[in-house]
Amino acid sequence: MLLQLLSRFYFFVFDRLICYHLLKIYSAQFKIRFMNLGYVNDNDGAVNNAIRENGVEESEAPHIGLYEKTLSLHPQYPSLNDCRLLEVGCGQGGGIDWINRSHPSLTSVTGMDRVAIRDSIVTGDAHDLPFKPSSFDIVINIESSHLYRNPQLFFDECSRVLSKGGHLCWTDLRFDGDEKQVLNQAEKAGFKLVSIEEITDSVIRGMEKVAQRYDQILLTAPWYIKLFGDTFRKTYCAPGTEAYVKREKRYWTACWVKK
Amino acid sequence: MKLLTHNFLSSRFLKNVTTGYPLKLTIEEKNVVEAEIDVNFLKNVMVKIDYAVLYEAAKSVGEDENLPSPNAIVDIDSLNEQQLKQLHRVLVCLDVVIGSLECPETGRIFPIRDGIPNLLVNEDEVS
Repeated sequence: MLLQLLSRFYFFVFDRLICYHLLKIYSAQFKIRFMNLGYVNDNDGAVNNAIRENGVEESEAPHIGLYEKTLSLHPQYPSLNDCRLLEVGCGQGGGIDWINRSHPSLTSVTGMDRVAIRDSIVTGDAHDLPFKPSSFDIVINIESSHLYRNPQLFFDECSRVLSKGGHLCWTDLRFDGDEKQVLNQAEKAGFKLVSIEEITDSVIRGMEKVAQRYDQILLTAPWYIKLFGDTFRKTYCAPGTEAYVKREKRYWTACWVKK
Repeated sequence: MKLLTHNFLSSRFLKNVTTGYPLKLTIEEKNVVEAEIDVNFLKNVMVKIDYAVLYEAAKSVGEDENLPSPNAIVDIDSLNEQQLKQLHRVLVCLDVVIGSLECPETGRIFPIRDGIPNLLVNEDEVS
């Protein structure tokens, strides 16, 4: 029990104080623009068409697949015309670049993260979104909310910044059964579920592709990054790590509409 | 930071702040990247923003000349070429590189560096 708590604390500190700050410094050098685990599904025509039509580097295709899969649950997809989109937890900004490219009819695409490294991104907190009410028509949140100290506050804030009829497109992992908490939190925040889908198998295929690339990057990284090599591998759930082997978590994507 | 982003930003998360909008913009450095005018985009964006706030933001960066007055409803089809160009310039081409945003209720300053507005605050500042 104590070891589990210490391990959780270590990963909390690693995420907040080491991982994101190292990425801020090295993301350009190692061409890391995405931080999600990826999504690969050969039978998903909508996602694969979007990737094919927009010409994507093979190494980024799984990450982009997860963005497109998440957006594809929006009832108007792929025509997201005239919508103002906010990505909460946009990381290095690869996702907002992709969305700008693949959905040029959006009115605006804004990113927000605790660690922002470039323009078009606002530095802010997912629990206290620094935007006025009804500023957006779509909020997208990819593989980020499991890190939030209070997911209910996050859902409340998403509801506040969305206009009535706006959509929250969300993807993340949870321990088996905990997805019910997510559904409750979203409902309590004033959302009505449009659809939810379990995509664990496709994300595992994505993880395998992503891990191959990141393992290669780790081999050429400076020694002080290699020091955290095992922790980084656990972060991206590389084959052989506990998370990959045990598979205690399921991966979900969902879309809600603001009532 | 685009002025379009400024149009959405608020400091309402601060303690004792009710709306925190609009944030007062001050700039030290701006950048303009020319782009082709897209009138349809301007039409779509105008119905989604608070134009009076955009106008004031443009004024604070010295870009209000030729912008239509915020006192009347702005109809894109009735704007002359100069007005359209200026509207396009402030919405699409202009970036605030260095500057600050000020909460209208508390005076709390949020810096803008490298085009990134930083609205992260200490835990004891949040309501």
